[in-house]
Amino acid sequence: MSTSTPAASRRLIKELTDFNKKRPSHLISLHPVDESDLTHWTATLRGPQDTPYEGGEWEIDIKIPDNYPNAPPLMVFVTPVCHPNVHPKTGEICLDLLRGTAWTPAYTLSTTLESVSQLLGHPEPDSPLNVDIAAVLRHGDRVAYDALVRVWAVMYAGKKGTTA
Amino acid sequence: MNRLNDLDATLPDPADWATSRIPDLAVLDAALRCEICKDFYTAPVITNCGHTFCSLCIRRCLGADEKCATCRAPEQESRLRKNGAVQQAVDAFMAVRATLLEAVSGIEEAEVSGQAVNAEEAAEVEDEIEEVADIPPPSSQRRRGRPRKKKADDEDGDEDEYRPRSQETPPEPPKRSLRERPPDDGLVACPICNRRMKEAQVSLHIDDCLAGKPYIPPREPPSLSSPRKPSTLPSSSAPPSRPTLTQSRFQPSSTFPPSTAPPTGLFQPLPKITYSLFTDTKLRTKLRELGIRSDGPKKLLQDRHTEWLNLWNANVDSPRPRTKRQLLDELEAWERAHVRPANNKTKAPEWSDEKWQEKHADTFADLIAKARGSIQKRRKVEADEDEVEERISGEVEGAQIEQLRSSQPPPPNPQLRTANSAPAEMGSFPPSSQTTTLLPSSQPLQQSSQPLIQGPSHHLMTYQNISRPHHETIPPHGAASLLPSHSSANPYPTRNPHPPTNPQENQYVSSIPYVPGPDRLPAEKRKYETILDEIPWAGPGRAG
Repeated sequence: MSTSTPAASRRLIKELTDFNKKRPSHLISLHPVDESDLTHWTATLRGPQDTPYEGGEWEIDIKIPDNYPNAPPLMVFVTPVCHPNVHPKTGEICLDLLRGTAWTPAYTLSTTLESVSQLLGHPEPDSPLNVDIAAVLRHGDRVAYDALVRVWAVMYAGKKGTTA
Repeated sequence: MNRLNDLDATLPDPADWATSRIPDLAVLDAALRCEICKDFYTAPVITNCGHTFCSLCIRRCLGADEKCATCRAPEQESRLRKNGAVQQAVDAFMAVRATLLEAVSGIEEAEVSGQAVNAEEAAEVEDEIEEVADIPPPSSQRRRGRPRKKKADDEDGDEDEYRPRSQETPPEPPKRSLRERPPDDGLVACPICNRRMKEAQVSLHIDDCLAGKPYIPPREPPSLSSPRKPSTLPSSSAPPSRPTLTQSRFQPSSTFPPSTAPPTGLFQPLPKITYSLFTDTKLRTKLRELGIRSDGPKKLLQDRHTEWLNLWNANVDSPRPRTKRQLLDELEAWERAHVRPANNKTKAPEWSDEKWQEKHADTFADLIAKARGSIQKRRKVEADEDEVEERISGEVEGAQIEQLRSSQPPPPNPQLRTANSAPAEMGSFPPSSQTTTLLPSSQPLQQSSQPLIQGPSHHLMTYQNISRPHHETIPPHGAASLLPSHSSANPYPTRNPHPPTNPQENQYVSSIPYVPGPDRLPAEKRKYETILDEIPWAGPGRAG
């Protein structure tokens, strides 16, 4: 079965039931990839409202470390996303919460994903992983930024294109 | 980890209240839960910054990062303090939770639901049902509320789980008497505490029991045959024979005896140690003293010790401490989950010989082909050698062999010979002055060449005829093997065994070593060297 400790397994199951009961709005789905392995999860993130990401759905791959919840889960975007703090190729997310510096065991997978969702709406171009889109944003070209994000969302994240 | 199977979707959750008539109870429910494990507090402790966690949770958390899990304020394990008030609140809430949930869930008829749950209870605790037929509904709910306390399939564990609770609340005499009744369960009763266990465990347990370790036997009803009770009962002032287990579960919080009463004298918190001050051996001794496993590398010893301290100290904080045996079990579970990779370095957890073979089938086939090829090559070389030797021994015998026998061993240095074999000497075969100066011992050479000069010309002719075919038929290696002194002098025997194909030189050189005796051994030896040269991985210096 999973390699996680009984305490970790127990908490992960709690998180799963909690998600199923609450169904937070920022997530479309959150569940282990395989029922028998609680160390590998997958989630589908809903593009936050009032952002160019709205309407898209991004899949995120989640790996649970052995010492969870004392260490943060490892999350990467599987669906390509155009964002200054997400690596365009690997999907790595630059978020202090996921880097361990700001992580506390009080966070859950769901709340962590909520932070990721908020990150989409509030990019930090000063510590970029995607330098190109960060440069666009840093030059203040919000229109170009929004357009690029929307194009990527339409191309990859199932966002409906506008037929204008 | 069949515990996972126990944890189904029926886990109590604050969201349970969302559909009730008082959804705000979800806030109360959530407030009584630990931020880390998201479960109801178990042995709650409070940090300096005023946040409360389960003792074990926050100890583990501080082990990873010395900060409060809620506010990230710096915190130290030693500053944690028990939070008795929260403990009582949790106990009280959990006791009424199920009832409350039903009461506010819209189903009004308490009696009906009571019966329903009664039936459920019947299924769940078969052996208790006769005694507690009038069991009120929430008892089962409460048990479900704490699934980690529940091991329905494990009688021993079951008993263990409930035992501690008997310290603060009355014991469970009915259960005990039930357990006494079927003596054919294959278990043996501890002579001291009368607890039933596997025979093999008894002696171990008695030590613990005598040492006044965690397990505090319940005050049994007088009807029991249990001979004596340990005098170390800390809460012996508590009313001894009190109702049933189920009743005890429903004690309102006010009747919960002081949760600080438990065996503080038996469980002392263990101090942290600075691992850098401990050598491997010292640390091992320390672990042995503590009664836990002491094998593995130092890192594992440290981790194990830390985990043991966490478990132990959390247990000290608990109003219902568990036995050392239970803690050891927990440590064992931790061990299984945590250190498997470290214990099994040679093979990955998902190792499969078949897969490995499949993956590297090409490489293996390659290696096999190579090995086969080199064997065949070797055989060919051997065959050639044999052939040559046969021919030589057949033809060279006769006129020359006796003379050669009488001659000295050949000059050892091939370079000299090469120098000796200038084409200019072709015609004038008797060794020139040059030859004599170059060769270390001119005497043997002259002796050995003597017969050639003296002998009739056909000798020379036949000899040339012999040696020529050698060059054509014998591959370099085979030819090299005909030169016994070659290997001893030349570090690269197979490199260029016959540089110039000078018949005379050849004739001259080969005329000496064809002594059957001394020739044999070096030839054999060289054969192996030849093989080694063909195997690329045979070693440095050979292939190069």
